[in-house]
Amino acid sequence: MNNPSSDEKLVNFLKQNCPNCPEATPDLELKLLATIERHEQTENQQIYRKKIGSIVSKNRSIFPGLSQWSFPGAIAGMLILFGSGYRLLFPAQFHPDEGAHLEAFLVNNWEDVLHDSRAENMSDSSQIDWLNFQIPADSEQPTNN
Amino acid sequence: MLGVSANVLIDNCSDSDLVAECLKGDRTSFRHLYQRYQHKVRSTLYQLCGPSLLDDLMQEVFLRVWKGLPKLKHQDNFSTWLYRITWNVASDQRQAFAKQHSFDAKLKSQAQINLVVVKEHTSELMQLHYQDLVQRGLEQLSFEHRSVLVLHDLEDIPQKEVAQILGLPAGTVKSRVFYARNAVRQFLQKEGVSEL
Repeated sequence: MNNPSSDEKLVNFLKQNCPNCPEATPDLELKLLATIERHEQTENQQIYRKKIGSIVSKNRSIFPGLSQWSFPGAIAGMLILFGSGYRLLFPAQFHPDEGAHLEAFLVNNWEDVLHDSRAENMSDSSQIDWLNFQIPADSEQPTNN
Repeated sequence: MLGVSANVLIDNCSDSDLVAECLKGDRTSFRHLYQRYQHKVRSTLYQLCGPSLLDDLMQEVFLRVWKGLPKLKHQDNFSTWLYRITWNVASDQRQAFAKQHSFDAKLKSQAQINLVVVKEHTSELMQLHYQDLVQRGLEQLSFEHRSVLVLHDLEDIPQKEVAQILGLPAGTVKSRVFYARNAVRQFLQKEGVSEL
């Protein structure tokens, strides 16, 4: 155990010969206040952002429509798009009977058209008669006078 | 005259009064707290961390104080709390210095520069020599022992309060003070200081 007076001597020696603390720069106090000011501003901005964020999240919880239905809606849209695209790329195939019926219909239809046109050519020439300038006998002849 | 009376009024204000004003957003009160404690905080930081970055460390301490004021439960214990923050900042800085592996070298080189610059003043030579010895004596202690010695013996903080600042049992502080004093005494005696 040390002598108390010895401790006292030591402590006094340390205090007397303690290295001098360098002086602070003159504007340290102002710098500190400026730092605090900046910190306050940053903190206020963060608080403001948090408030905005909480308001937005509250609104989302009140009107959940968009966020809630966007995913199923997207899936449904993709299915519709896929189905219609498939239809466009691969048209429905005819049944063989339907094909035969269609072929017969086309042949008949075509033949009818051909027969009709021949008959018309044979019987009805009135439509092109007007193209022939048939001059009646009693009409006035043009004169060169 | 008005300025003097204002200063007297501020001096009469307790720490807890100033803290209460700070909590209302009054920065003038914070300036008074700063002015009241800046020398103690600066001296403690200097003894624990050396001269480099001292202004930055001061700013860090008082910025932490400003941020932490709303969480301060016992406003009467402001000074204890302030020293606790100071010690935390010093401790963080010590760890950063330890990573750089250059702290001790910086301290030594700074001390040598100081010695060379002022060596011409022969009347102060002995004083400077003793200052160098004390600095080296403190440096050779571990950070834990140095903290106890600086707070208790150089800053005159009672052991009970040191225990609160460092979050240690009072018995641990007492034993660390005992160990630190012995170590410094032996170092000084070895360096030729006979008056201890």
